[in-house]
Amino acid sequence: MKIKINHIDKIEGHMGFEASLFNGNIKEAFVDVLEGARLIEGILRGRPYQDIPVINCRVCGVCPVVHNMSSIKALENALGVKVDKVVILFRKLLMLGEIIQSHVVHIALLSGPDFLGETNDLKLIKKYPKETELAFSLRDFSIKIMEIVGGRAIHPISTEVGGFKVLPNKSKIEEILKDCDKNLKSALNFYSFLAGKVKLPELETELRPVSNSSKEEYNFYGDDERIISGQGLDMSLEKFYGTIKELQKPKSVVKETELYNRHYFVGALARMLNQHELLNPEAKKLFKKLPQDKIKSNQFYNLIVQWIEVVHAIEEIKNICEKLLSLNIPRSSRQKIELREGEGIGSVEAPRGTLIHYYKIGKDGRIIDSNTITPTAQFLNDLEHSLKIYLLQIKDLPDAERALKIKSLVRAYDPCISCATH
Amino acid sequence: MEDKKIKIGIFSLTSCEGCENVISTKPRELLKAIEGVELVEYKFLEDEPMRWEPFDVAFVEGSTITGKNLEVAKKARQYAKIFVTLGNCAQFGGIHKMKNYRGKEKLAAEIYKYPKTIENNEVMDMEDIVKVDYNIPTCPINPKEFLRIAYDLISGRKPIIAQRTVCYECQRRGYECILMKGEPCMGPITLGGCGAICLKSKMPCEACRGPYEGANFDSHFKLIDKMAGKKRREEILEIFGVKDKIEKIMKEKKQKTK
Repeated sequence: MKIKINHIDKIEGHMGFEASLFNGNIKEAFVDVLEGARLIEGILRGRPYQDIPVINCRVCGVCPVVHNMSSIKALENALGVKVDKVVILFRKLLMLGEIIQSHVVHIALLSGPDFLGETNDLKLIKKYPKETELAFSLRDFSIKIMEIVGGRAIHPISTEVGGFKVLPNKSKIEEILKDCDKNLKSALNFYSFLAGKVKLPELETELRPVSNSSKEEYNFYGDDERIISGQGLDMSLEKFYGTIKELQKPKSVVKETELYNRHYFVGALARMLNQHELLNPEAKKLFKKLPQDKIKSNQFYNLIVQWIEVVHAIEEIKNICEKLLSLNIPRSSRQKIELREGEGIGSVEAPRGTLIHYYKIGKDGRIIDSNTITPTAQFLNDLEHSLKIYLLQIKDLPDAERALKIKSLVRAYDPCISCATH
Repeated sequence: MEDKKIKIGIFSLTSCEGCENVISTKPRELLKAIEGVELVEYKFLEDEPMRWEPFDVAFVEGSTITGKNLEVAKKARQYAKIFVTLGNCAQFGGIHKMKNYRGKEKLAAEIYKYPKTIENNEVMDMEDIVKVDYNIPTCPINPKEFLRIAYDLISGRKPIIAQRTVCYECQRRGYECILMKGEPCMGPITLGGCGAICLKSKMPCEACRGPYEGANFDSHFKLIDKMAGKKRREEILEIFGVKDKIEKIMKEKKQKTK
């Protein structure tokens, strides 16, 4: 039996799916990436380092901030640039805005509808007007944060190697802070709706969750440059970068990765499994109510824990704003950069998981070599593996119903094919 | 009964999908705009395959990197009464066009193990592929401009983009001139409409909205070349793929004056 889905809509980018079964067993199952090669890693070579974050954020229009941030961090490592506490707080604020923005789109528009029995959002919006408004208002909040800190919602402008070209003044921080409680309430209300309405399918796979970690806080910024996994792995970012292998199949524009010859996964569920003890109070309460045995083996829970991250992010935004108000904020935080030869790796947690950028810079400040390892490239292998297991459960369903189930698992992973092909 | 609803399709080629994401940042306004409109394609919101039948307005985002992208662009042109590019990638090829300038075969061989198995077409301006009726410029598009133009098209009006430069808009807002401070800013030769949003954050304009046709390119480039060199000037204009278009306009202008 052959199963083929030409195009999976409602994900970032373009992909399809193919599988074949023989005597009730899966012979093969793979995702088919339908994106063109943009060759962005190649485009960067030869360019001055200042252009890199500007170009690289355009790898993805849903999570541009994290591409911008991990490029900047990698370049700062290569150039030996240190940034101060205020800059890091602003960067975290900007990233949390994007985490909310991306997760809300994924949950409310892309993946969530699969589990509410209506994949056409325009119909869904009519069915749940109150919840739609909650999601919209949370998205407004996140966009406002990105506009205030980054200068624009999609593709940030003010960020650069060394700091920010301009920084918002305290009245803007107060504006964000003032909205936090209201939005936290909206997020909790939406969570009750989600947890009550959404019925997730059963799935049992072996999960190897990988993410950035820090001892201080539930980490997105990658402060400690350490990568951990649920299997007890704990290594420096540099060692992790050297340990994972990028594979390429003929015709494929995505380089999937392996860790010790095995698939692993990154993303909200991986972060949650690795760092849940560091969640903020309201988010932690929600996490504790989840069926703990199931979340360790069922990728569909990615959807639910993304929303727990939304709750956590709002609590964290409040903390950061309060901290910033107690500090002296300069109008700009630009640094004079001394050029030097060097290599640097930078990593942050994108909404979809661990994102890594690598650059080698010449003494003229131009890029000699570059590499980008995106979350989707890292979990695509794991997704294919889960699809094989899930297919066995649903193989006898009618075609249309089975196709929808396959798509729903793909969408729950929240793949970004634009990112993966870069 | 005959269906009189206006039919609109939003098509996505190879891109970052940021423009589609921008549209969804104003969801209430978007829903209001598409009240009484039939969306024949918008894969961000629905999961149904496109049926190719005549429709009214095609908004096309992204550049034509694959053969399939080219086919979608041509089909959208064939079936739509009005063809509109959405964002810099569709209009000028976007950041992807840099691969043309750097030698795309060489780049593919640097990056991939099996470069010959990968589709790697020349990235082109949309106006060189199909007849384009309107452009909604910028990387990424700004939501207000999109909604204004979409409203105009839905109501059967001709959308207009005011012909003025980014530099003019920057000065009117009283932003500090970073060109005078020695940063190579393309504001004086770039079509306005963005409200000089980059200059607000002290980022020099890199011409993502494309050239303002009435600009004095020669004199501005002389200034930039003195400041940062010709190589850097060309590099900047390559970021958003507008270099070719500017060269085309300059050539036409020279021929006219002859």
